[in-house]
Amino acid sequence: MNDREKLLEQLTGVDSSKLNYYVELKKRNQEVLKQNSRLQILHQLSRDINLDMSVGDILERAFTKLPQTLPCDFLGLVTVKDGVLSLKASMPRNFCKIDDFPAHSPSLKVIRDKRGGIFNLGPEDLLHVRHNPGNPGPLRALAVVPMFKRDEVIGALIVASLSDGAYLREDLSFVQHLADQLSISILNARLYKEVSRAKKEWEETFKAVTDPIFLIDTDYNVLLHNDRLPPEMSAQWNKVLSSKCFAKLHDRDRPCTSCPLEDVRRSGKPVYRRWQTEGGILLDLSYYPVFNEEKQLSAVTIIFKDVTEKTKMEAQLVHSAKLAAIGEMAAGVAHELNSPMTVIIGTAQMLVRDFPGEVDRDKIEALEDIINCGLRCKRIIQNLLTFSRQDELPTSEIDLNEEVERVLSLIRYQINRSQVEIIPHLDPDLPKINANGPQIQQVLTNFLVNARDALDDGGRPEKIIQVTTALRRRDKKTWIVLSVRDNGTGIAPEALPKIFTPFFTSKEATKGTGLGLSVSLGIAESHGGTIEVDSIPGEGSTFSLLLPLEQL
Amino acid sequence: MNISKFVTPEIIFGCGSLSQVGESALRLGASKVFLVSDAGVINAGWVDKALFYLKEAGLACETFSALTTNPKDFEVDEGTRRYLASGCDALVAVGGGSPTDVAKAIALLATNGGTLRDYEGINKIVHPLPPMVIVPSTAGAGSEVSQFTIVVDTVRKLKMSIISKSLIPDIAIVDPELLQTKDSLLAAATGLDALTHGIESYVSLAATPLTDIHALKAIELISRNLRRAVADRQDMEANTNMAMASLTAGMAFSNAILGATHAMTHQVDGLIDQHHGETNASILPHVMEFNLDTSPGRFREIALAFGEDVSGLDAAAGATRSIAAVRRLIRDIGLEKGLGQLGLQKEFIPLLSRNTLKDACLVTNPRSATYEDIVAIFHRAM
Repeated sequence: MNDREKLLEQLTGVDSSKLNYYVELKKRNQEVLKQNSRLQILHQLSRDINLDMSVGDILERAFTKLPQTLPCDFLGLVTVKDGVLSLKASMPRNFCKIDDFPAHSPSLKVIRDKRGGIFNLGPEDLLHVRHNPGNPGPLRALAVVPMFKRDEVIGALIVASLSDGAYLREDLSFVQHLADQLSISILNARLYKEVSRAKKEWEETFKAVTDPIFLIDTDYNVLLHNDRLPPEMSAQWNKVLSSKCFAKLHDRDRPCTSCPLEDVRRSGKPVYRRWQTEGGILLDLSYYPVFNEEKQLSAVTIIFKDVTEKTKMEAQLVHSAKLAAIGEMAAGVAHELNSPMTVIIGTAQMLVRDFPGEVDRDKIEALEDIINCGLRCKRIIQNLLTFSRQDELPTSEIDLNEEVERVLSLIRYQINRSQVEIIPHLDPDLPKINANGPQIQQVLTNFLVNARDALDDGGRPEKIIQVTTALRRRDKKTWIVLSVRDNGTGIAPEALPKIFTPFFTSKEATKGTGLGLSVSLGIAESHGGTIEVDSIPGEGSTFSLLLPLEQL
Repeated sequence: MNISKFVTPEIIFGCGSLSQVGESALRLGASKVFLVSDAGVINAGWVDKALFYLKEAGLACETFSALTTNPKDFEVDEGTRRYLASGCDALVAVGGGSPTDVAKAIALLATNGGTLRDYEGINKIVHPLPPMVIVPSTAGAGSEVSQFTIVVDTVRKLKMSIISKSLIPDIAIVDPELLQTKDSLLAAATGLDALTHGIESYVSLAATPLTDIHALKAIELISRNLRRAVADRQDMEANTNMAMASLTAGMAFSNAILGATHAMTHQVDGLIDQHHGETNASILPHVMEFNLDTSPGRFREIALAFGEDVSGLDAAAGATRSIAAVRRLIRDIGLEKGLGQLGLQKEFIPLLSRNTLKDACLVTNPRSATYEDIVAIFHRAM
């Protein structure tokens, strides 16, 4: 055809037509519909992909959706690490194997150029791909796009088809979108795993701490806790539905007065408190502020440290030290008094011998009084010496009644001075037991002092303390019991659970330390025994030291 | 060629059909109309009328009229800039060949981008054009139905022919009333242009029976009405017939294309900025002489359409009558001038001839023309 005919054909021929908006619109509309369906697939994919999916799972999900909009017989993900490519995942899973990517391989080219491409391949281009004969193959057309992590190429996504020329250049942008979406999903999943691992570590660390820890927001809501409350507190904790700390810990319906949270809020610094629970547990509370990004207080971490045992031991230590000091002093004094006392008694005895017959009966009686009182003083001194040697005497076979007598002889005067009558009921058939005598004396002394104090303020006509020793069988065991009963004020029921806790005292500051009973219980327990309390307010109390007979 | 194609716009014809302009634009989906016209048409009041009907149809309008006879490329550029900035979505041209061709060129650049030179030639347009409604105010150009737009390249000083089916307007509204306001010279020039369209498309290599009907009808109407229309501008019968003649000539040449006359006049118009009809008048008889031997039967038909008595004459003798009839008509309407009289200087003939060989219209000329042939015709037409 010569030029002239060609021109004529174009000028008048049937092939040239008026371009039509409708046709173009339809074309665009089809394009839009196609894009729309692709967007829908991208959207659905991003919705379907869970954070805890593996790369393989993510690829599988994409593979099921993709054929709706793009020919896809194979989907592969190639990663690059230190310049080495590897087929990280593919769908179908066992479609092929690639051990080595040659220089001409599409993936390598795409990763190098950071730009996607369409590849129509002959068999010679795919010699490096080892097909699983079970799958249809070989692949003829590939759309390969780079996968980015920010600007860095981390791999390539391969969408492939068994049919020739399956992909157009327009498809590439969709595949790139898909790759971007998958990159994000994969990075998110990876990030999520890291975060959840870190979270788990922190939670385990948090739970591993045996002391109770709470995280409380500034509105007193408990955000987190490690479930380590002592049993009697956790009962209350679990019972309360409210999330407020004052409800869960203190059974209150409003914040506690002088809540440390206020101090933390004010100062922005940690605050320390000591708190004794209803159950008698002594807790050290540390309130640590937690700040948000704006440097405002957002929460408070509270750590409870149970210091009951520690405090008791400290108290015991202090008490022992005191007792040791007193004992040492008493021993010194007693020792000093012992010699003059011996001289006084000896001299008085000599004088009695020098008064023969019935002469000066009055003088002899006076001398015998001196001798008796002297002997009594010596006994007291002896008791003091014994008492002061308590540390040196671990346990030995003792007669409990004798110990009682010793204490009474030492303390009776002191107590009688308060117009209190002491009535002993000592079981004469009591067997001997292995015990630390001075410690037992200490317990009894403590019981007696407490009984005296319980009688002190009541305007009672008769103030009586009964000291009883007896044998008791209980729980198929035989116990030796030493009881001190008073008819004093008794103990209020709500105070009863706390009386053994260190530093609990109902007495005025000058009188008691709140350590006596705590130390006494310690002594009882170290002998394998215990202390029982029986008290009726207004009628009096009975404190009984129970020591096992078989033991020791 | 066994298969032929005939393309025209939707055509609304008749006195008062200008009133359809608003509805027509609306039908094409317009919401804001870019109205292209020129000062002459505005002064005649037709633009105001068109705007009235457009606004009545609820359309917003923007008017562009900064253009001259033989529209220039920079005028199109300015119009395109204005069109794109205006937010218009359809074009309406009210006027002669210039506003129509400018409207087409604006439509082309607005949707296809680039410059007009990129589309010079045949079938270079790749995107559809916005909807166009053309209301001709002259009876001649035929641009309201044609696949041509002719714009002057002011750098190369020639008329670019841009040819594409996409340039065929969507609706042509031919209202003969609009013809009354043009002066006699313009009526004569445009009428002669239409005659040239009729004759060239009738003898064109691409003529088909469908184009022939329109070409012959146009020649017949022009031969009987042009003198009256030039003599009495208010003769509505003559005006209506001339409008129809221009329309049918347009349909004919749009589908059968033209010939050497137009290929040559395009060059002359680009250089001396004369009315296209006048240059046609100078060249047409000489091209007819040049072509005569190739298709004497057709030229005899033309003579018949002129009402010449050719009975008893053989084809060749009858054919020569057509040239005489054309010359007579040209003389009667006062366009008997040589190119020299119109202002063309001889030294330009080689250049014009070279450019003529590149013009698409030469393709369909019944007789192949060499450079020397064209030079010779130019000289004869001086």
